[in-house]
Amino acid sequence: MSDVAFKVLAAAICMAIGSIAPAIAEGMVASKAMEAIGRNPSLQDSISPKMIIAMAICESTGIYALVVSLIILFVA
Amino acid sequence: MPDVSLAPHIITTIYGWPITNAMLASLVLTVLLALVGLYARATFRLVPTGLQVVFESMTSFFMSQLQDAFGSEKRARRFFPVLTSLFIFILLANQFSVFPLITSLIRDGVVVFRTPTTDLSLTIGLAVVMIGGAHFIAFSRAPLGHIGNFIKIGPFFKVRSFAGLFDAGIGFFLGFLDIVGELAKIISMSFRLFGNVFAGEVMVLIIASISASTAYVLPIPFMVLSIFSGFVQAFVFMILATQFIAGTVGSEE
Repeated sequence: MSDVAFKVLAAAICMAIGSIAPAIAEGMVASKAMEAIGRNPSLQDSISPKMIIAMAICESTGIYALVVSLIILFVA
Repeated sequence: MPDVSLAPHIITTIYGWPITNAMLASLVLTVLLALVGLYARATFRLVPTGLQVVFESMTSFFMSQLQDAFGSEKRARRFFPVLTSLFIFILLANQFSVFPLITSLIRDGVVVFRTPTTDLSLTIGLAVVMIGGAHFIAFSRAPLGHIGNFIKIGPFFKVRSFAGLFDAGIGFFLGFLDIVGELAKIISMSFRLFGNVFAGEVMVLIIASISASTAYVLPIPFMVLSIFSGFVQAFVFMILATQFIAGTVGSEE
């Protein structure tokens, strides 16, 4: 295989494996937040922003994978 | 494949200092923000109108956020200016590519304005200033106590038995892990902001350049997503900076 093919393959594998864990984590955060809202709907205004912040923090490992694959594709 | 580069392009050099397009954009943004702030201060009235309502509601919202984090109103008031201006700056910097025509200006084949937060130097700089500033404040308040949090020699003087010596040794090495943890905070904060904003732009760019049929309507949902994530990331950056500063500076006064 050529260099470019290896780069594309490496970026694809990096992204594919790196996005598994953040997806599971975000799903867990969302499901727990929905559960809490269902239990006490009057707290929705206080829960939703916290849920979004927690999701953004869970997302960060996926973002690292993304940055690494962008570096593989466009810099290295 | 569209032209995507991680590093910003250099527009010109002043006395050997390279001036990149991201630096120019953040400078323009800073000047504009300062002008809007001065204008808002000059037109301050007892009965709020327009711009003043925006500023006042933002102030009360962030004051309540900071009071929750810092515990006391006095302390929240002290860190309020830097943290809120950090939020406003990142919020507007993330949306730089949404305004039409600004990012299309080209001089000598180089784009003149680049979204400031898609330059890793800016996000690392912001994170270093926030974390470093927190450590500087904590150090100037109690120099020995702050160093003692990381190089834990203190417990060795209280050792009574062999097991106590073992515990103190473990604590000593955990202190070095805390130093690594502080560096990891800088990396995680800066890469999170950079990755989100840069990914949003690259995604819109790639979808718009796949074919002529995807160039017009299809990027709109992704642009909305990137606007939303830019807002969320600005808020997350500010909240994390608040938490780290509150955790490092401590609650004693």
